Amino acid sequence: MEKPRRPPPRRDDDRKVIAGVCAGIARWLGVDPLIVRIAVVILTVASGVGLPIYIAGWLLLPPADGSPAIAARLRARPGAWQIGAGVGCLTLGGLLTIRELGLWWSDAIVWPFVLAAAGAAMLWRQTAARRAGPEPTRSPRDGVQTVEHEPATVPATEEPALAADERPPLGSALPQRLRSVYQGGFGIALVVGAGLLFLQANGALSGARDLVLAFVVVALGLGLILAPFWLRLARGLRDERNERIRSQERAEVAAHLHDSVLQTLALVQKRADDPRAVATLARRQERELRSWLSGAPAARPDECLADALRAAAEEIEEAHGVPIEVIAVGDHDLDERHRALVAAAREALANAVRHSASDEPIALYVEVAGGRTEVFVRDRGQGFDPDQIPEDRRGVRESIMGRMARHGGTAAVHSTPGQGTEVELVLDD
Amino acid sequence: MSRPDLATLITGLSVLALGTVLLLDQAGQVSLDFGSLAPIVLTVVGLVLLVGGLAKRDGA
Repeated sequence: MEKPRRPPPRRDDDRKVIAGVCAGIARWLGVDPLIVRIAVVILTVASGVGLPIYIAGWLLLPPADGSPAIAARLRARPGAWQIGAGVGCLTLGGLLTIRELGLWWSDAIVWPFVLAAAGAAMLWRQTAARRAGPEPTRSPRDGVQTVEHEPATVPATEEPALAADERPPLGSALPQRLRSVYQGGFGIALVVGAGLLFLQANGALSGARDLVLAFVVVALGLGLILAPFWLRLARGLRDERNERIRSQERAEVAAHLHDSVLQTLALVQKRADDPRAVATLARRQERELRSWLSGAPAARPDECLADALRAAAEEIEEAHGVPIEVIAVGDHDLDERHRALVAAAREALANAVRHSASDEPIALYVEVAGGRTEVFVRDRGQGFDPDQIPEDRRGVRESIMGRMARHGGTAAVHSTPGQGTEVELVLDD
Repeated sequence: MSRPDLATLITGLSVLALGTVLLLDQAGQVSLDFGSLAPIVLTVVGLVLLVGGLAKRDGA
């Protein structure tokens, strides 16, 4: 029997002191984190290699939440660090050249100014990034492929993977916040350091040196004494915050279940004598629950083609009690021509509901790709001969074919008596 | 004949220029000390890094 493979080491955020490297390695080795920490401290004090090893671990080990390691994230933004380092080297080289040529004011002024400018640039960049807000996440409705309104026969386990992937993980904003704090803190440190350097270079700190030294020594001592208590307090606060978040999520789920599922179940009990009404209620609830579980944004039937078609299908389904399965691959802005396409599809759906004489679900399939929008409405009903449509029946000729032709599209009806009907609508950009 | 890669070309030229300066120093034509050598080395390293980074970003 094959022995299960041990997962690779990860940083441990739950028991971390700095970055969770020692705790992660300890978990991987199955030992107490204190042992690894002592080993790293001894390696750092004895030979200095402990610190590089720790930094390498911080860069290379992925965090426990499954996101990629820092080094992998840097690789995902090719050239970013090289550009930053290159600009830094060029700037420093230019400054040293100017200094060597004698076109220099004073070391006591220029270097603090350079440091302050670097710090201010970091602060400005971080502030600008915060103002711009987080990077937009891909919406399921904007994706290349969205499959919704799956038939009721599809088991819950076959929920599209997209739904789970699109939902942001709990606490996903934390790395962004930490990065923001780090950048802001580093920028402030640079500016403060530049100020201190300027004061020191100009002799303004000579009187305060003894006082600052005493303050630093006392602060270090207090820090060493209070560090364990502070760490325990920080962990307690973090655990309490996590528990509060979990509790809020539970409350939110409970409230949603009460407002939607329980209400629908009550309605189902009341209308148990009407199978069509019960089926309609169940399908509406299914759609709503799937949408909620996938974390999809609110539908925009006035802006998106797929949402407009879904809305039309829901409307006809609720009016006639015949299930309509909608499958959408891609999406398109809802301009005037695509509004006409939606109207034609709606008419085709209404015809299918009225004339197919079948309780089988009607399929509405829409695909947007390569500048072409195709919509298919299929039923498994009795079918008909398209050539036998009376001249005075304007539904297919005007509302579907005529409308599509007027907006530069095409419509075709494929039907065979006894085998159902398919209406094909095509619109090119 | 394939066109030379711009990043590689600039890197090569930068290193060539640095080598020439060092050679001139060795031959006694110029006198380099740390104050004058450091900016040259930093500029060459910065140029190589910047060009490499930009090439990677554009090729991504």
